[in-house]
Amino acid sequence: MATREDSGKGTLTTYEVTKSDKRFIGAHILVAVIALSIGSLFGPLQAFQFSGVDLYPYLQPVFKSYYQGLTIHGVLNALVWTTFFITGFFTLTTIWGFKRGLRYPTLNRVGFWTMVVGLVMAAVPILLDEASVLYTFYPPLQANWAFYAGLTLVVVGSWIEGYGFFFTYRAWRKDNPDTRTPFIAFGGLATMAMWQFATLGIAVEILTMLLPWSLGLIEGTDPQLARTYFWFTGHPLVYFWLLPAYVSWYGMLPKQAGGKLFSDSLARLAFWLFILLSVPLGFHHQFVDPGVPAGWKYIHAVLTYSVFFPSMLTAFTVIASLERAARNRGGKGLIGWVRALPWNNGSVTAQLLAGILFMFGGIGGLTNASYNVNLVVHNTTWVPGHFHLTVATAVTLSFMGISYWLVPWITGKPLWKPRWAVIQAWTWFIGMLIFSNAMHVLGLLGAPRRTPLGVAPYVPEEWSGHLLRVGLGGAILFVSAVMFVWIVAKTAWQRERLPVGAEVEIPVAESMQDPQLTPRWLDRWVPWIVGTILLILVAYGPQLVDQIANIDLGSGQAPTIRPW
Amino acid sequence: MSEQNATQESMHIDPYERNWIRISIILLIVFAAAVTIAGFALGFQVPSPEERVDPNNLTGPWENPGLRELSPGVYDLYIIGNATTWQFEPREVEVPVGSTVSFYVTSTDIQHGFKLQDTNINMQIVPGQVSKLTYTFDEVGTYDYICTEYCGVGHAAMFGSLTVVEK
Amino acid sequence: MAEEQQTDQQVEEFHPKGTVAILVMFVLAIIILWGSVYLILLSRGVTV
Repeated sequence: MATREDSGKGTLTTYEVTKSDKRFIGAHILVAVIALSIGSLFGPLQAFQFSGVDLYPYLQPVFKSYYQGLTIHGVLNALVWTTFFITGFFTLTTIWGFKRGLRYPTLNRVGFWTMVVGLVMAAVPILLDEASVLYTFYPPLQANWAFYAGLTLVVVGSWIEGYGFFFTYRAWRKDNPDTRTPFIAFGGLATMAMWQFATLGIAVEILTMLLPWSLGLIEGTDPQLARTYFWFTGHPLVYFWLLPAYVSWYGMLPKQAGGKLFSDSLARLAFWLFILLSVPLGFHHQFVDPGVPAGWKYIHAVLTYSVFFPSMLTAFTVIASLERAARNRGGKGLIGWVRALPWNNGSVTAQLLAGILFMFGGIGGLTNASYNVNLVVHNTTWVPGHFHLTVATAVTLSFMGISYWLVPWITGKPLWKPRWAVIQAWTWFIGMLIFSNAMHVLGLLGAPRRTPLGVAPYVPEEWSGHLLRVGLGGAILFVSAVMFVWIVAKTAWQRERLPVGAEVEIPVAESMQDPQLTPRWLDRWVPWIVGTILLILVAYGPQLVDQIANIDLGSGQAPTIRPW
Repeated sequence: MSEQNATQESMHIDPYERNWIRISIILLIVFAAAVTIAGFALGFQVPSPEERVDPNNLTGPWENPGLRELSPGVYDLYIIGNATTWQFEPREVEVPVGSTVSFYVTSTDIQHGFKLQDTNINMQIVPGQVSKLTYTFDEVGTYDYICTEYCGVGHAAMFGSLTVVEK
Repeated sequence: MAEEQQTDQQVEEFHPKGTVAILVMFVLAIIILWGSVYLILLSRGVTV
């Protein structure tokens, strides 16, 4: 249905997204929001427990323990809500970026349903308290085999959807040999390409150790090697979460704010650098592991500094795009222009507030990655304090902001009570400020993470004020989460429809330079992919060979009595 | 930007953004230098591989964990964590002020964490591996060591304490 | 096309001074916050 008019600025195509594609994208968002709503119920339970209010006994026998709740909170929010929203969002950016349908629609649907089957398969043991191993599932803690099989299917499903995007790109490229890849489509492809490399670690960990072990085919695991495999994936996983928000910040938010993308070439460069540098630095999650030499930890610390650079680039380019938009709207002054941004637009406000808190998340990340500085904060509440600024705000609040135009676009209905969307964004921002700051301070005081501090015997009086703030922040965040789910649900189920011709428009920002003038090496895949493989081999090769050669499956057998 | 003609392929980097790129790189280099000095010159180091052991059959010093005085004021301290009683063994340790203690920690079953509060001793405890760091106690007082990695229902109660007493 | 011309004209003059101001504050925040944790590290004693 694509009618193409060639105008000076590359091919300008009008394209009508099919009903079934809209429904397909909507299905992703639906599963994502359901996962978020269930997962977010347990956040406050943990936060209240910190403040001495333990509600878990009242949830017996349905939910057995704080740790079962923590596993549900982690898996549903950090893995399911994110993965489904991301693959749904990238289905949209691929179709709308290339202005053409998916090359093999059934392939993407197979990917989606594989993820759904995997989700159900993993959810059953979690809900039966057979997999209270948290979302890092470090062996020798052993979950039911269905938990590992389910997670594998979710990852494999996301691969399949990724390949669906790659095939669509190849078909588009055949028709447009010389046109720069449209930015929002490119951002999705880059993220999914990085994801293919990233998930190799977790795939090997599950297929060679965790699954056969939980099925009783092998006697045990090598826990140190399992950690190395896990964190091979664990860190790029955070870029799998973050880059979709960057696609919106670079490629959509400037348009929503009334301006243009400040630099097309640097925006693309940032994504290429993330493909190159996301994987070869996983040891910064293992700085205090016994089985990794300090030299390799140091190399990965330096590589982690290098991947901080594309985020610094992003900070400049996105803020400059917003500044230009604000000045277009009459914003004046060195910083006063910020007031001229459309703060009455819930989608924009959510992403602006997400960006503000992300700056502090970035500083925390740089601290965690700083080799020996990690000794101060490792496995303390500083770490969840950090990632609630990154995945739970920069990413999640941005996804909420995206939903405020995406759900109206999918359903053809107006956003329900737009003013409430703005209030929801601010509530999340304020709740997170309180919660995250308290967690950071508690971490510096030595409070351990993943621990119901309400009952821990070693909690000094000094922590109690901050423990209360954790509960307060958690309560505010809970209100905000309920508001979000309520707004999105009401939007989808209301009868009122947008009049024909007044449908929601997908915001796609033009860039200040014609993308055709962006250098060619920022639109060619092979050199970057080869560089990525080489850098991973250099940064991980020797240690993987060493740790595999010295594998000791006897050292990681499941405890005779299950610890939970 | 304006000096290049608009039809030529180029990165179009705004001079301000070019300066920002320089500032970012310099900042990262300064932080890397500070970290490198602290690590390799001042002795703020992270654990390195110490020894592989069989968690199901710990031998040698592990057979009765606790303090070993190597010479006056210099100790080795062997500690074992487990997830059946969720205890560190030993749970109580006492050393004179000024002592230098090398912590050797391992697990008999699953992963634990070992964080000596108010110090930089912070280690992941992995069955089959020995985690080691050293610390010198200059001040009298009590330092709790707590488990910082989820290890089951008893995780929150898993801790011990080291007391530094007058010589 | 006149409107397009005008914004292109604006493009030449637009240098993101406000962005630089915000990012200077960001750099100060990085130095202060990262520095404070680095000092905590130094205050808690060597590990060798």
